[in-house]
Amino acid sequence: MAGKILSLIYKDFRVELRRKHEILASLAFVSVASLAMSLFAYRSLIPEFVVPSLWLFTLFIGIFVSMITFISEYDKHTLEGLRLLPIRPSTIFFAKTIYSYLITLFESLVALIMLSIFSSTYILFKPEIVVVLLLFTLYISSISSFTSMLVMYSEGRSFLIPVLIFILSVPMLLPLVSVSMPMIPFNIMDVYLLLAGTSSFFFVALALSEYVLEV
Amino acid sequence: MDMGSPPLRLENIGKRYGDNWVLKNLNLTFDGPGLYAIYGDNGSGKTTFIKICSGLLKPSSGRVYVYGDPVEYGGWDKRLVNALLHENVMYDELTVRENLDFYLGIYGFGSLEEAEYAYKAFESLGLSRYLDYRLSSLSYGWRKRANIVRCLINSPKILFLDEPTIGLDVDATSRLVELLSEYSLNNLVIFTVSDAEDLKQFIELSSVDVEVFRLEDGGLKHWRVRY
Repeated sequence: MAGKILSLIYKDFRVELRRKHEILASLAFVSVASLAMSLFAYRSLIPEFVVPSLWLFTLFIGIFVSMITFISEYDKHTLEGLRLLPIRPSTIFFAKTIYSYLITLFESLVALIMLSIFSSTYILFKPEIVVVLLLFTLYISSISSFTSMLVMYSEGRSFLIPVLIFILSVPMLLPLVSVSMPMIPFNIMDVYLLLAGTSSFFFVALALSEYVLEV
Repeated sequence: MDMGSPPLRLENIGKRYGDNWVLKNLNLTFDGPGLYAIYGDNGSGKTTFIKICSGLLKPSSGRVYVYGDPVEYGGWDKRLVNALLHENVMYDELTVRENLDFYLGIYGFGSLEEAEYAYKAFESLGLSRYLDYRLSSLSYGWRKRANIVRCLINSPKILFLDEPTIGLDVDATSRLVELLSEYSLNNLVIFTVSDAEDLKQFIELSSVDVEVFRLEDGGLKHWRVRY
């Protein structure tokens, strides 16, 4: 099964790299938004403002990634090709989530570096922020893949995707607020909460994928 | 999976889109290998039939059985079935070689030569000259040839083809019919056709008997038994 998952991920990267403009557009968004947010943080003399900006960017990247996972495959009919293969739907979902995670993490790290450079602050490199970013991007990737799979048949998906991603990310806001506010001492329990929430959501989505993707 | 069971059995299959029943109470058993045509006008439900039988669409009523296993929720062996659809299901951004490598890898093959019939189709349909071309740069007919090779990679015991000759030139059509005739000696091959002339041409080119079913008003009936 590991071989099939790797084949699916490798294929997705190849396809995405050939398309280029999608990734470049999202990187352009990250760059411009980082510049704008950093400028605001710098001028307002509140460097901590870059931390919530990073979480917000990660959410937007999650929305973008949901468009290029299942929805793109569905629109191009390649999903039917995948569904004809002897691969369980949960395997396809697993591979898509890992692929989403790698893209989201890459773009979030680009955002982290750009925010740090443009705002001349290195607050984002604090270990607790990096750990929370690693977990939060995994959570967002799971939500993003699940949402993409769930609404791909819907005509109102352009509206549903951002709404669903925002709603599903709400339960994980507490640890994000905790590491974003300098006046609140960092609590390791928040990381455990994020870890528990991420793994719970991922395994529930993995189980549901068997019924969403299959007839 | 019981290889002693009929390869394909349809039990009360019905499909409804809104209030319109496209397929109604289809009961049919395909007992063994052979070449079968489903002939029907546009909108008669041929594509729906193919998608239901290959597990891509859920019927509104009834069940499909592949070698005794119901086609639902991973309870059947997908290695036994493959389908050529109207749409190109391969990746436009990848070359023909990259696409085939992806599908070969999933089925556990190291190279196209290991997939006997896919390789035969590849050679016969002359796809080698476009091996390193991206699919997006190929015409509809050449993309269709690539998809024909794809659907033969796993040497399926049951092969569905939705209007396989549309978009192919005369030479490719005759090569495809020849290939399918040979393939149907040991496997069940079911294809759809909407044009009477195309059906006639297919039957004339085929080296084996073709059993034709007429899909009309949601029902499937023997139209002509053998040619």
